[in-house]
Amino acid sequence: MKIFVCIKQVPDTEAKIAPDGAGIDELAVEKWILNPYDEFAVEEAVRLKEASGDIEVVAVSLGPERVKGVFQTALAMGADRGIHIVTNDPLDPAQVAEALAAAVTDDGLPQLIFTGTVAIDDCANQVHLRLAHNLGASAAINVSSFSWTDEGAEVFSEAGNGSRNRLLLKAPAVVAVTRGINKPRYPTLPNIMKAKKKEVRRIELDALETGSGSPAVEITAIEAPEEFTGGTILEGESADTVPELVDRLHNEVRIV
Amino acid sequence: MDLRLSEDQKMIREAARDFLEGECPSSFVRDLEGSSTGHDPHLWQAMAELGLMGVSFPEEYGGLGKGFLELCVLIEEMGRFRLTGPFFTTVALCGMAIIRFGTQEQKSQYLGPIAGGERIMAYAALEPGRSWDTSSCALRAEEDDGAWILNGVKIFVPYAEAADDLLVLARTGEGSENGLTLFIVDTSDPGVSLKRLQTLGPEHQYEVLFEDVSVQGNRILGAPGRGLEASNMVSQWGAAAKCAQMVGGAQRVLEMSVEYAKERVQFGKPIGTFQAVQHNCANMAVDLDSSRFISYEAIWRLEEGLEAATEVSAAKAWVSDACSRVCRLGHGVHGAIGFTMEHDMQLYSRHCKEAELAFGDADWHREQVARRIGL
Amino acid sequence: MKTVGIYIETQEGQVKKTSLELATLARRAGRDSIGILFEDDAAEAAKMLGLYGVKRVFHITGDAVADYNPDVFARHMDDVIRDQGIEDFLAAFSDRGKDLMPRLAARLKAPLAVDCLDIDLDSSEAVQAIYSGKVNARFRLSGDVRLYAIRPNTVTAESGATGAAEVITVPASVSDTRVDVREVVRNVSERVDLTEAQIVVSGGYGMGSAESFRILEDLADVLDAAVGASRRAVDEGLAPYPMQVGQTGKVVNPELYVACGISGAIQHLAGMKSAKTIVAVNKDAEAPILKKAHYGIVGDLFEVVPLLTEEFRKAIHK
Repeated sequence: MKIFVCIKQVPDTEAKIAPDGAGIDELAVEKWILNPYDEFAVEEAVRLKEASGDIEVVAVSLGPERVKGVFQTALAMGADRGIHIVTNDPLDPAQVAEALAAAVTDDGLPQLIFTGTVAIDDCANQVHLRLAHNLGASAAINVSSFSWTDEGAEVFSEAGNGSRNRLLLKAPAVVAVTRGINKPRYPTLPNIMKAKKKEVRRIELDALETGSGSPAVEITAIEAPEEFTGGTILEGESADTVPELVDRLHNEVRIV
Repeated sequence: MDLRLSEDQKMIREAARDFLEGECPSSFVRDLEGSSTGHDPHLWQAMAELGLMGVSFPEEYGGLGKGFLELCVLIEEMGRFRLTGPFFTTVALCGMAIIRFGTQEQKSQYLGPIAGGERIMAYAALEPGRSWDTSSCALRAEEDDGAWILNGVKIFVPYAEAADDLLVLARTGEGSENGLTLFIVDTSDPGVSLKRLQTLGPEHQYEVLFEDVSVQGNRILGAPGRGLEASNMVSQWGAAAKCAQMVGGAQRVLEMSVEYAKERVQFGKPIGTFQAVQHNCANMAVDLDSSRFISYEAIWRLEEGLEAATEVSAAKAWVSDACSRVCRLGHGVHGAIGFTMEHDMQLYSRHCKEAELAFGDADWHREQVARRIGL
Repeated sequence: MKTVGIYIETQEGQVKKTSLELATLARRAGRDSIGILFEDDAAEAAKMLGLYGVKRVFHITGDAVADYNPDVFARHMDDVIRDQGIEDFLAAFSDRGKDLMPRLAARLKAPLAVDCLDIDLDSSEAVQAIYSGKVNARFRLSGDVRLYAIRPNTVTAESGATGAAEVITVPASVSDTRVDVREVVRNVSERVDLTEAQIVVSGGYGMGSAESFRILEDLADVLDAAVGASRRAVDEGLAPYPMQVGQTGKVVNPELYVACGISGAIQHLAGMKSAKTIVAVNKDAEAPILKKAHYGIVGDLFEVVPLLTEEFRKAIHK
C-alpha cells in the first residue's frame, strides 16, 4: 500500500519575519523547519507503516530549492522517498492543491494521504480539503486520532469546545492531523545518515500541466502590525492594585 | 582550510540540539542535579535510541562509525543545555579507551551494551592529595593466583553510583612506564564502597574505596603494565572534550546575555545601549570564538592521531580561563536576577567551574605547555 | 447591490453570536443578506436573524441533514449559492467554518480568505494575521464567487432591523457520501467556547498545579468567561490540550484577556494578541507579557486572582 504525506517547509517559530513588498524577507529567516503539524502527519504515516509492514510512505512538497531540507527530516523519520515539485512562483492554495493532485496522480493514486491540518506560516487551512476534492477523495481535518480499517480510515475530528466527531472515510482518504494525535519521534542518528541516500524525485511545476493562470488570491501587501507601546503596570499591595484595576476595567475600558 | 563543520557534523549537531531542547529544559536538569544518583534512566534510554552513545563507536558494535570530533560536537550541545549525567565519563572516557586499548573480547562485551544504553561506566583515576598527573597513582593491584587484588581509594569519580563498571587506574609495578594498569571493576564487586562528595558543581562526584577487591585477569584493559599510555590518552580526550562542553555552555551564556541586554531597561534605556555592557559582551564573544577554535584544533589533532599534548594543554588552559570570564561577565550583565538560584546563570557558571578543574586546572596545563615549548 | 450569503451556525437551537456578527458586517456594508441554516426548526432563528438584517433564510431540512456531515452540508450550500447567484459568501472562522468553507470553495472553484480580521466586500479584499501574528497580509480575491471566513469577535454584533427573515424551506437530498459520521461525542460545557468568548482567563506554568486552575474557574464564573492555558501549562500536565491558547493551540479574540502566571512567549502571544484589552498578572516584573499587556499587576497570582474575583463580583452586582 502507498501512503503520501504532504509536507511544507516553514520559517522556524522564532524567526524574524520582515515584510518585503508582497512577501517576506526570506534571507532574514535563519532557520527553516518542517511545519510542526506536518511532523504529526509524517509520524502517523510512519507508525502505520511500522504496524502494517507492506507500506511505502512518500513525502511530497512544493516550493523552491531550499525546500529540499524538509525532505531530510521526513526521510529521517521514516518516509521512504520524496517528490519535490520545484517552483519559485507564489501560488495560492487552490493552485497548490492542483499541483499536489497532479503529482500524486502522476505517481499513482494512494489509498491514504496524510497532512497537517494547518501550516503555521500562511495558516490558509484549505489545501488539504481542496486536494481531496481534486482527487475525488474523502477528507477530514483536525484529526486527533486515526486507525486504518478494512472499510477505510476511522478518525476522530475535533469539532470545537471539546466535542469531536467519529468519522469513517472511504479510501482514498485525505487525513489532516492535529496536535495530540501522536508525539513525533526524534530521528535517530543512523536514520539521519541513511536518509541522505533516499530518493527525492524532482518535478518542475511546469511539467505537471496544471493549467492554472494567476492566483485567485493575490497578496497585495504584507504589513507589520502596529507595535504595542506598553500599558500600565500597577505595583504595590494587591489590596490596592486589584480594586484599582477592576475600577479601570469597569469604568474606563467598560468591559465588565 | 575549511574551518566549518561538515554536513554530517551539522546534522548531528541539529539532531542533538532538537532532542536536548525538547527533553532537557532547566527544570529537568535541576531535578537531575537534586536526584540521588544524578542519572535519569528514561533520558538515557531515549539518548541510546537516538544513537548518541554510539556516535564514535565502530558500526560493528552498534555505533555510527564517526569519530572523536563528532562526539565532541555532541558534547558541546550537552554543554549548551547544561546537561549533566554519566554520558561524558561512559562514552568519552571509558568508551574511547575500550575502542583504542580494549581486547576484541572487551570491545564486544562493552561497546554494544554502552551504545544500546544498557551499560554505564565511570573512569576512576584521581586520588586524594595527589596530582592531576594520574601517573602518580598509589592504588595497588597485586596478583594473586590469576586474579588481581585492588586496594586504595579514588576520588572525584563521576556518577559512580549510577555506574555498572568502573575503569580504574592501578599500580601493578614500580615507575610509570610499565607500572600502571587499567582494570574494569564491577561496582557491585565485594570490597567496592562509595561515598558521595558534596561539591559545588552540578555533577554527582564520589570517593570510591577499594578493599581487597578481586578482579579477574581478563578485566585488564589491554595488557598489564600498559596503563600509562591509555590513561594519558584518556586525560587528553577528557580535557579536550571538557573544552567542547565549556564552549557549548559559554555560547548559551553569551546568547542569554545579549538577549537580556536588549530587553532589560534601566535608567530609561536597554542596558545593551551602554558602552560598558557592549564591550563586556564583545569580550565574551571574542573569548567564545577563541575558545571554540583552540578546542577544535586539539580535538581535530586527537581525531587524526597527531601528536596533540601541547594543543590539548593550551586549549584547556585557555578555555578554562576564557569560559570562566564569560560566566563572570554573564553574571554581570544579568545583574541581580542573575544572582538568584532560579535563574539559569548559576547552572552554567557552576558547570563551567567543575569543567575548569577536570583533567587539570589552567595553571597545571600552563606548566605542561611551558615544558613542551622548551622551558 | 449584490446579496451576501451567510452560513448560519446554531447551538442548542439558538443562532450563534458569530453568525450575528456576520449579518452585522453585511448590513454595515450596505448589502442584503441571505442565510443558510441547517436546523430542525427555523422559526426562532428567522426571528433573530431578521433583527440583524438577514432578509431570507434558506432552511435546509430533512433526514439527510439531521446530523452534521461536512460533504452533505457543503453540497447543499453549493446548491443554494449557485441557485441564488450569490457572489460573496461568509462564515465564521470556527471549527465548522474550517471544515465547510474549503470544501465549498473547492466545489465552486472559488478563492477563500480565512481568519479575516477585516474585509471589504466592494473591493474583495481581506486582511489576515499570518506567521503567528508577526505580520498581516492583505489579499485581493478574484473570481465569480468569493468566500470569506471571519475571525469571531472582529465585528460586534448589532441588531437594528425589524421583522423576521423569510424562511424558504429546502428539502435535503440524499446522495452518496465518502464521509460517514459514525458518532458525535458532545462535550457538555457550561462555558462559552474559547475561540468565541468575549472574556478569556488563562493560566500558565505559574499556576503550579492542575488544581490551582480552580481559582481561574472562579474568576471565569463571575465574568462568564472561558478558561485557557499556555502551552507550557499543557505540556506540564496542568491543563488539557483543548484549553491551549497559542500558535499550536487556539487563537482567541476576546474583549478582555487575563493572563495569570504566563510569561508571554511569542508562541502564546500569537494566540491572543488581538484581544482588545490584555491584563497580565505575574510575580516576575521582567516577564515579557507585561510589555504586551494594557494593564499589568506584579504580584502573587494566588493572592491577586481571588481578590479580582471578589472585586469583579462587587462591581458587577452594583
